[in-house]
Amino acid sequence: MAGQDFPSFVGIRDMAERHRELISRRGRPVVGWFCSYTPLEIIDAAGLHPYRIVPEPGRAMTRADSYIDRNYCPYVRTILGEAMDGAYDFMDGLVVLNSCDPMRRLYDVWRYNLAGKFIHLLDLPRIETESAVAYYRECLLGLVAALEDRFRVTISDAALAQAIADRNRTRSLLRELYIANRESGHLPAAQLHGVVRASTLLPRDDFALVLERLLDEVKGAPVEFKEGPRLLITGSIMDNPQIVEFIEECDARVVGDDLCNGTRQFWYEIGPDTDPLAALSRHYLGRTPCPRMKDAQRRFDHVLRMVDDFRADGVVFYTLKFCDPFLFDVPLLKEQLEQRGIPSLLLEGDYTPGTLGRVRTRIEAFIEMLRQDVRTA
Amino acid sequence: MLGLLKAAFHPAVAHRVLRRPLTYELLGRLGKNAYSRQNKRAQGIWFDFTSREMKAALRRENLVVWANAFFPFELLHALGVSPVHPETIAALAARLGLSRQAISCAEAGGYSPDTCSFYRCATGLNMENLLPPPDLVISASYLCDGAVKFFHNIARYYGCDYFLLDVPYHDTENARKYLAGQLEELAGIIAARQGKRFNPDRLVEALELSNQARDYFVRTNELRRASPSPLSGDDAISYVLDMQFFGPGSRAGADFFKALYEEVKTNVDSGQGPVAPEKLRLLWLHYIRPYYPNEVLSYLEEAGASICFGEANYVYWEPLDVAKPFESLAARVLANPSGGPLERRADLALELAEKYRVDGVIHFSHWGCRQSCGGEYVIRDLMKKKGVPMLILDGDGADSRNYSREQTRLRLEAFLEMLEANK
Repeated sequence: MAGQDFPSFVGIRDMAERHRELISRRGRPVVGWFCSYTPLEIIDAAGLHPYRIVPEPGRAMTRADSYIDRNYCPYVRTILGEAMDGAYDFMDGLVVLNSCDPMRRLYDVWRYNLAGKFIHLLDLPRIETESAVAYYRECLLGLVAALEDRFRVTISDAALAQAIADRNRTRSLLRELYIANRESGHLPAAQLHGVVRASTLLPRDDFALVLERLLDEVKGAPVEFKEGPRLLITGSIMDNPQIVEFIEECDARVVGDDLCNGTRQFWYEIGPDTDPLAALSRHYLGRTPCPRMKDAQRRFDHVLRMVDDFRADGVVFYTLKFCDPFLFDVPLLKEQLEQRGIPSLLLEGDYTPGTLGRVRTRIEAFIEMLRQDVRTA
Repeated sequence: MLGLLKAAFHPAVAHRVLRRPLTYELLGRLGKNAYSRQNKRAQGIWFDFTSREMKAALRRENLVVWANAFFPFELLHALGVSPVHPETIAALAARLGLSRQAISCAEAGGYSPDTCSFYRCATGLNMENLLPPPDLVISASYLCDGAVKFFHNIARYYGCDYFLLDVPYHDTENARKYLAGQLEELAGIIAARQGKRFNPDRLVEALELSNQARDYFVRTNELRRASPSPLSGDDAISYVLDMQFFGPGSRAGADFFKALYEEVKTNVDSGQGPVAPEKLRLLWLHYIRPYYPNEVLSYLEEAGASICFGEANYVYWEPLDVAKPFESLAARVLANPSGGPLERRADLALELAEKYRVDGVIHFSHWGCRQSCGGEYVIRDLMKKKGVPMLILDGDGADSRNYSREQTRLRLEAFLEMLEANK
């Protein structure tokens, strides 16, 4: 199911390949981030460039063996391995969130082995009560102060409000793109993934312009009905877009996702508030939840709603190995999907290409089963 | 005593026996007497305490509350609920040979073998209807991502409320206020469920009992500097730790630590200890050890190596201020060395290695424990710089399928040989 290459997609892909050059042209200090709860608006408002660290798949992880346990989050291990190889030396700082045990240990192990860089640990509540919102607002204020101090800048409320408005625009465009693509499937899912990925690398102004053009192109293209089972992916970080390609090579379609490096980053916009930090606090604690949050049902409801909205015939759970929050969700969400007659498949990745063969076989079997289900229905 | 229990509880009959309150009443009495006769009064108190809590929960005498090991139990004792601590039950099930079946049951239900075996075991025991159903489920959010999720799933299973104590990362004034506020809110919620008003006097009483326990525990830990080590590592990382988690705030908790102090003092005064002559002294890093039948600790002891201290037994909190009960409980939680940045845990490990004059350190890397395994190499490196060898021992606390007797023995043997050569 090779979609046509829209000129703007080609543009985004080229820009993503040259992202380092584009970033340096803007001349803003680069702040690396990992977790999709990172309040990018604060980094924007400081005049810094937020850059999401998501290593490419297939890099050797053995480099990490001397620094962290082998049976550990493969995302964290790959990052550490790459960091030790100097892959992130071009960054001027890092913001790590206390999202889960592996993330906080990434913060520790990084600091121990690569001292010297500015690195800020931002706490992150797991609940969304009013007192949690107030507490998290204080934590955000701590990040503001740390960035101001390190980069000798002032982060004004006006700059925060502007950053929120700008990011909201990107969020709504990305969401529109998903919705526009939902029926037509003009953009293969791996390309859509590439667009979202580019949004986390490129200078926001450069990206926003091309994104608007891409959206127009996708909306303007003639709609063709495509057969085959429709799948939704829910999971942690998608390390390897090849998995999405496998699915589409089997003549199924990935119509939507609930991934850490997919829609979870942008699905909802930040609500209005006269106090921008309060707006950010409320938004991030209340956004589409990661399995780390207390209220798992809110996440399940979101996935179920996406299954309906995107008319998915099946769900793929995709997780990197050793992701406890996600793994504990699987039995419950699987059951809720089954109650609605939606079959699901659990796939685990580990950031190496070694597992791809097995994954491919399982995807093929799952899609074959779905196809039979669709036929008998 | 546990051996006797094991013989009586063939898995086939366990279902019937374990669900009966009477079982725990009898066990409590038998255990207390049996342990007293062996001069193990503290262990007897623990046994009686744990049995009584199980009996009360099964009889549903009070509101049944499931809570995790890192929650400040003083609050629950003050409220007079019947606490259930699944981590203890999973460890006991492992000891009694019941964990394998339970773990298989959880895995068949979709729980990944990569998650912590204590929670898989407790999930399985629950699926087999062996545990008292909760009225309310509580967990503290720090140190273990798995706990946040396991307790959530239990609450869902029973359709009851789930309260997550959201523990901040940094110990700041704001963090204490936020945490204390949650504890106070929870006290109100539980009292309302019990149909009564929250009684602050009961909390003051619980805090005083906790302080009594703490005082004896600090003194016991001081005594553990003696050589030969006066308390076995096996005891210290099983029932002592259990009482440290779940006893504070109860009368039994205070009695337990007093009795423990007296036992340890008697040993120090008479120069006795479980490992004599003591050839090597070791520090144990992690909250747990293997609880199913295994040879790890017995092998070390037979080789003349004592686990003279474990980080888990360290008293990291200040005495609780009865004038500010919620704030001081919050401060206690935030002081946990495994919370916050790794320096806290690493610095403590280095301090303990020096204080207890250890020859080596064993980091028990429990399968599925992310906070602990994530920092082990850094700690090993820091120890190395101080000239203290550290062994990273991969293993599993509750799932015996991850235990290889030969491999473990080989690694321990090599480590002890190296330590002896260093002496």
